Amino acid sequence: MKMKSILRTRLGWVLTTAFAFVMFMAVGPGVLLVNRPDTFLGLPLLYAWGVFWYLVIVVIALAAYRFVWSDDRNSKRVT
Amino acid sequence: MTILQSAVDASIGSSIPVLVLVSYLLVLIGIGWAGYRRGKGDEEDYYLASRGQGWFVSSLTIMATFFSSFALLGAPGMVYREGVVFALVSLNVPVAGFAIYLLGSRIRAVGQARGYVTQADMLCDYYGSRVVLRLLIVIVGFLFVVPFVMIQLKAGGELASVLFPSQESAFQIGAIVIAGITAIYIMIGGMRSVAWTDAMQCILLTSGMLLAGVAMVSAMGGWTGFTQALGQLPVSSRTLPGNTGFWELPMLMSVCLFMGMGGVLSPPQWMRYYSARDRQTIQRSALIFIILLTGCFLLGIMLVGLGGQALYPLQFDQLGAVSPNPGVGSYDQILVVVMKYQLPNLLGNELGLLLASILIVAIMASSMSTADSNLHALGGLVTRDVYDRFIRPQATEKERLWVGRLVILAASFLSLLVVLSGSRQDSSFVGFMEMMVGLGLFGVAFSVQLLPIAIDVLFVRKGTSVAACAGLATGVVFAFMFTSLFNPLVEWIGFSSLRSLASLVAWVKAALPIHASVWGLVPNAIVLVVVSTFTKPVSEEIRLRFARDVGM
Repeated sequence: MKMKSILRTRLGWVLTTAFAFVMFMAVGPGVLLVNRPDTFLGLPLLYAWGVFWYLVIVVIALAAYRFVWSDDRNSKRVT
Repeated sequence: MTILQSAVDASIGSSIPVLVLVSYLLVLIGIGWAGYRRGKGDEEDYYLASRGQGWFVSSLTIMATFFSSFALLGAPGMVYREGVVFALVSLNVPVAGFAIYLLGSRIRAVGQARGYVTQADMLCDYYGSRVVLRLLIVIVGFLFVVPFVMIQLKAGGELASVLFPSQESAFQIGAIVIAGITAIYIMIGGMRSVAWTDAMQCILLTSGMLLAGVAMVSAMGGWTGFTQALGQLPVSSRTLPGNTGFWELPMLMSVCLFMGMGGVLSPPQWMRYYSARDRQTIQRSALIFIILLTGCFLLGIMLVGLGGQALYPLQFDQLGAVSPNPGVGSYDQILVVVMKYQLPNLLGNELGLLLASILIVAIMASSMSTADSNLHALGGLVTRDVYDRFIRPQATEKERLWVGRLVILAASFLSLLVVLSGSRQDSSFVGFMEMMVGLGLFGVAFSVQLLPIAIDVLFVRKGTSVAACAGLATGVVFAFMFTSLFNPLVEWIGFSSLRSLASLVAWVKAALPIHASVWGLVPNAIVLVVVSTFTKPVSEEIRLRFARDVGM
């Protein structure tokens, strides 16, 4: 039980760091990497960049809900 | 025969929008009535639906309240003006979603344990501040709610202006209709009606956002036509800082990080956390919020603004100043213009009109779902935090409910008045009122000022009562000075000393273009920390009690 809690906390920190990185890249200084009027699959590069990071956020949110928040619910039930 | 057939077609065509609209409004009134019949007639039920809201209704009402006509008209309007850069602002939504989990689930736990109804109930109980903090929180709530209600009424006006261009007072009539219907069904049914109508409106709103994107791509001849058209947009439309130069990197980043947070800490959302049945309700709501709403924004409604630029090219004068195409009245009208003039031509009269009618209803739904939640929350705020505390503490529950309803009526009227007077071309505030997104950014600059004390109460528990009041007051004043209302207000008042201050603020804003919310948050947090070091701390007993109630 204790091991599970430690893993959950670690995963929580990993996901938090990943989300901070995503924001840094998507709407922070990282966006300057793609700040040019090019296209990607026919879409403006800046827009495609936003869509890509949105998909990464979806993965982070699903992982958080499945592995971090759900443990939060279970541990609450145990206590 | 042909003439007769055309007449029949025309009659069917013109009756589709009316039928869809009337059905929608009847359903709304019906839900208001059903909420009233199910209600228990007490205050907790009127404001929090007896704290028994499940995840389905909770997630939909949280989303519907967060996304208003700001999403359906304001966002494509801003993309139409600025270009792709504003599409990136969609990524403020996941920040808000994670904040719903982190803050919302804790607010719910404390609220359920102690029976709180408003934001001030919780924060003032912790800090033990009976008057100053409570009044400050009411002011913050008022400064958030009124602009957000104004956005919704403005949306009604913009919609009517395009749909009935020959009618001289179409804008005014549209705004009045939205204000009237919304005020009526909140006054009848309270939180249950608001949440139920929000649930229905959220489904309409999210489908409308996606549908609008799909319709725009089809209107431009499919995906290939759409992407080819986007490739022809001006360079400034496809890069930072956008066509007007407003969305420089610090502005983009500060808006994405704090705009959603302001929405999450607004009075109506806070009350939704209290009314959630359990922690899982909040968690599911947060997940749906992050995935669905961001997707609707980024993959749906933003395409309208981009396609709109291709269909109705912006006008650039010799100095580089931007103005909308003459075929589009104002930036915020782009979706309605596309829907009215492009869809019936491209998708055929009946299908086009049906789609356009659904989008009209979605716009109305988005307006009403936010206006109702905000007005309802303001009713609770003024009644419980002002009337009950300072004016008539001996008032009965029934009396307080009626006062809440009168507040809703008065706030609707006030917002309507400001929208109608601000929409006149000779108004000093016409610039402030120009864009819905601008009004939204104004409102969240204040609600986000609750973030430092919310974090303190829910996580840190080191702040003091004096520090909380001082920090919040400082944050509100600083944020106000950096909003778009400060300059026109100073011009209108005309004091020379204020003009010098306004010039200084303008210079600082130009040097570091970040959103007003951050200009308020930084001094707010500094004052909270510094003043807490030398003022009387909150008692150990209260801190332990809150730590236990938060339960995390």
